[in-house]
Amino acid sequence: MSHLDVQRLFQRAMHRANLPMAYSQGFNPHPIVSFATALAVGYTSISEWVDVKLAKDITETEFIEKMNSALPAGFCVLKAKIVENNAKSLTAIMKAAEYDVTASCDIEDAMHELLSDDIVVTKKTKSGMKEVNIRPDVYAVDAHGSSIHITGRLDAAGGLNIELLMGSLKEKMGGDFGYTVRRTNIIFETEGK
Amino acid sequence: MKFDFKELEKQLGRVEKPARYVGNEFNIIRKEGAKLKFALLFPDVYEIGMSHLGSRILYNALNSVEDIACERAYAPWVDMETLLREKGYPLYSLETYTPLGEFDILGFSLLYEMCYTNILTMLELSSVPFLSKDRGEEDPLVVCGGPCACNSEPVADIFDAVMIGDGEELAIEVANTVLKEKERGAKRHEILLALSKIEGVYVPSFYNPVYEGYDLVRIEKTQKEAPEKPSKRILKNLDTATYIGKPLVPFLPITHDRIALELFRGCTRGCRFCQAGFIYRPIRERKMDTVMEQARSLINCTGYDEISLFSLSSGDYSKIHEIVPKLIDEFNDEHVSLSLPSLRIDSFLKDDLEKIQSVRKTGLTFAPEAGTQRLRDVINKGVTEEDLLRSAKDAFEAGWNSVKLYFMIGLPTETDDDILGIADLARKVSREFYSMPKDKRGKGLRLVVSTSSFVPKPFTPFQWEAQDSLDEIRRKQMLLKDALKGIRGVEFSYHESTISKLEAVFARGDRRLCAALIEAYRLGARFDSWDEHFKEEAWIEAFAKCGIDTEYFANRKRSTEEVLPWSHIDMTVTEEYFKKELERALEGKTTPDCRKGCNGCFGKKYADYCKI
Repeated sequence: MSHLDVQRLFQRAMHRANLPMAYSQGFNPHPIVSFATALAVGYTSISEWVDVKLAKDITETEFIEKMNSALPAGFCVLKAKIVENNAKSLTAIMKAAEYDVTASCDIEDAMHELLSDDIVVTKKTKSGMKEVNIRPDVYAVDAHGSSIHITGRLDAAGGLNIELLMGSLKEKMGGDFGYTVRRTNIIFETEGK
Repeated sequence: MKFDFKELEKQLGRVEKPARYVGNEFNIIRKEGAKLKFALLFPDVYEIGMSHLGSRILYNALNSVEDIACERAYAPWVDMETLLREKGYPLYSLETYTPLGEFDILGFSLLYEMCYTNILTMLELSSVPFLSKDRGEEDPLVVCGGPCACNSEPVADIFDAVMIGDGEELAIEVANTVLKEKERGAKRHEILLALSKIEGVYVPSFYNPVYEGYDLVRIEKTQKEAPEKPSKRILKNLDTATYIGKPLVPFLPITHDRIALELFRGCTRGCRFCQAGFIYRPIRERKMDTVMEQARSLINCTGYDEISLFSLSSGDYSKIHEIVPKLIDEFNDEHVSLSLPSLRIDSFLKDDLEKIQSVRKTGLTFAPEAGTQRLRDVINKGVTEEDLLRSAKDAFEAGWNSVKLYFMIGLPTETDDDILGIADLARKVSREFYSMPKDKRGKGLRLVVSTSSFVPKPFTPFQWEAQDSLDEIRRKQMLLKDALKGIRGVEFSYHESTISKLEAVFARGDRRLCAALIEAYRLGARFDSWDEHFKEEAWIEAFAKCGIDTEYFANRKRSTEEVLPWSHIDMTVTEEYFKKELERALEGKTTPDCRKGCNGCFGKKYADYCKI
């Protein structure tokens, strides 16, 4: 599912849950629902965060219960917190994210080797192809055989691209292998949100 | 066949839009332990199949019966077909990931002829033999329904039974009959015999076409107990009929991603090219209260933010001026928008349009169909240039600046003057826009002139008419393209005429086409209505190999005395009526809307079927 698909799904669930949705002004009013960040197509996640504005105050418990009765299987609201109207958006305070990557072969040693130096990748930018070192975006890696847990930068400006990291790893190993990615956590500036 | 969906799921990252193949949609119905498994199949890609209202109705209707579990599958896109073949996986249902070969009934919806090769893909991936005669006691029964069922001859060798007409009661009756027969241990042949006695069922293998030379001369009934002329099924009351229940809400954006509210079935206008206008007769309206109740419950259980009024000509709904404001009032606070497709330009809906505008603006399409009054009279499209210009003006004044005009090229009796008339009309519409004061009109005009090639269809007054040759259609398209040059705001869009010709061949084809269909499939034909997939060479080779003269089916004017491949099917409107209408067409005489007085289209036999 694409990010747009997820957004639409969430909005429809809010409508089904009969929540007092707040709408944007303008010619095409739309519900004010905004995910902290998009999830790449094909990735799974157990931790996504979303800003939602309602037209009327309701309790966190009511929100969770109503949403969970209206969301399709596989989607679930785990936690909700009321914030001030002028609170910074989740996207603005987002700092990092954690991922579990499971590969079809042992990548432990290769990953450690890769991380011991700069990781220069070619990125497509507006002005053409550009060489970038993504090593500083990798904050922590815990590798065991075919499973690795990665913490990487993720903020409003962008962050660690797992695909590029795995691409470099494949290049280093000189072979192709399959892998799945699951986002396990998003870390924000203010804890407890 | 042993099949583990979990194994396949791991591979789905390789195909485009994996959500097409995983099910799990909100409101999905999974039934454990039902006695009969019915697979509702749509031979096109998921986003299109999911947009088909009829399938939504049948899904709900069949699943409302305790003993029946109705599950879905769509044609796999070419990448998914490759994946399934590579791994040796079968095509499966989205509800319980059951291989289709394990179902009792496979029911295909046939909405257009250009999906026929996809039927073969779906059967082959289910290891079900293509031809009815090759299937054994263990194979599912393969049935179909939908508008193409009125001339199912080109695919008649594939289907064990064909359901003609309204499906909501018919499909249940068919499923229940199959269940009852199976429970008493009936053999395939006995089941088919039982089915043939249901009103609306046609069992092709009980009828045999006889040819002399290349011509079809008669259709012999080979099974004594089968009806002389299988007739279409008619649902009498839409208010008491089952509708779409709690419809599925897909994860993917689909082609019609909104709530469809069916206002009525049938049409009284009698446009002579329009198959839907004849095969869905008589007209049956849903009460406004029923529609309003459905609207509320459908919005509540789906969370959709758009409603579309559905019918062949929504402006003809007797309560249209009441229901539009009522719906807008009801859903305004929830920001649910309303769209009104299929509006005729002679419907007076200015006020309604302005109200729709206040919620959200969607594109407007007008369908004059032909460029001159003379030709519009021939096709009995009872609209005038004044109607069009007035509607366009109304729309522009209400703030629209994107309008589409839809025409057909190659209509019977068409001359170059009629083609140039299209450009004339477009010019007048464009002038209408630019003659408005700048502050009153939208920014820039986008006027799309869209043309398709006329395809003569069975059960219309033009069923005997010839389709223009490919060269002639292309010449006319270029003539129009030139004539449209320099008109402010105009864009011209036209369809690939080769596909229209193929459509014409299959629309009025007979059983001999089935071999060519299978051959084209073997040569790689798939998704033929998709320009990027259409393989013209495959079809040319297949027709040549099977000795099919495509001009004979598409481009020949048929005599009204001829035995037509669908002569043995009774679609309620009589052949005499079509003949009379054809004569009137060629004389340029119009026939009034039958709301204004019965024109006798049903003849004596069904005279009391129509309440108007």
